[in-house]
Amino acid sequence: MPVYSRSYWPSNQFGYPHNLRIFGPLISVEIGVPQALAQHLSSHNLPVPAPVPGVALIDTGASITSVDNSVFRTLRTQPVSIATVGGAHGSAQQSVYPASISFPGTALQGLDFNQVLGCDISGQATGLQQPLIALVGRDLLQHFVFIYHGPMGLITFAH
Amino acid sequence: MPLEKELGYFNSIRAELVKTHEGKFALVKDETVIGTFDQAESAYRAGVAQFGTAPFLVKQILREEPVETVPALTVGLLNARL
Repeated sequence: MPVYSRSYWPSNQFGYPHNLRIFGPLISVEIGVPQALAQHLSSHNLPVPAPVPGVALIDTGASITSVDNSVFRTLRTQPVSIATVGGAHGSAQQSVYPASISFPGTALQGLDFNQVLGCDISGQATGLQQPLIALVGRDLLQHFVFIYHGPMGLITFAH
Repeated sequence: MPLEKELGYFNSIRAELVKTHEGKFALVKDETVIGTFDQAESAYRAGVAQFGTAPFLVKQILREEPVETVPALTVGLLNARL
């Protein structure tokens, strides 16, 4: 069973285990086009966009994963569906995009095809060098075991 | 919004589709159901094979439209605009 753990201890600024509380559980991700689209592009001698690296925040409150719209502009992917998203003031329809999601630097298996919401989360602080580009919701978490160990400042993924 | 035409058509025939294909995933282009599939990925793969990079809709056939929740965005906890 591949396991990945990230320790927020020692903290570089706030003191243990403050960073986990402040920035939340984060994991490095790369978001790319699904294999089916990559194969189509290759077979037509079109360039396959490189996956976009960044950081994802684990959001157990979200039923679906969201990815920053800038990623889809870079990948030049079209929406593949429309989802209804509920909010405090009713619901709205939002574009859904196809995306492959992998976890570089870990042994965790990536997921080649996901339907994710496009959103705008640019500029959100992560405490890391890379920008926040995704909120990982329960649609992805259903494939993983996720442990949030607050006192130890430790998160663990396995699948 | 892209795919509004396809979604409108899908919703217009949703009740009929549910009778025979509930739970499957429909591949819709313009006002035509190209096919239904057991997995969303299969529908997407078929859509790419047939339409390439042109837009097409992949939608699960359910009696009612599910409502997704992303409180961090919709409540504005992040600086996000969906």
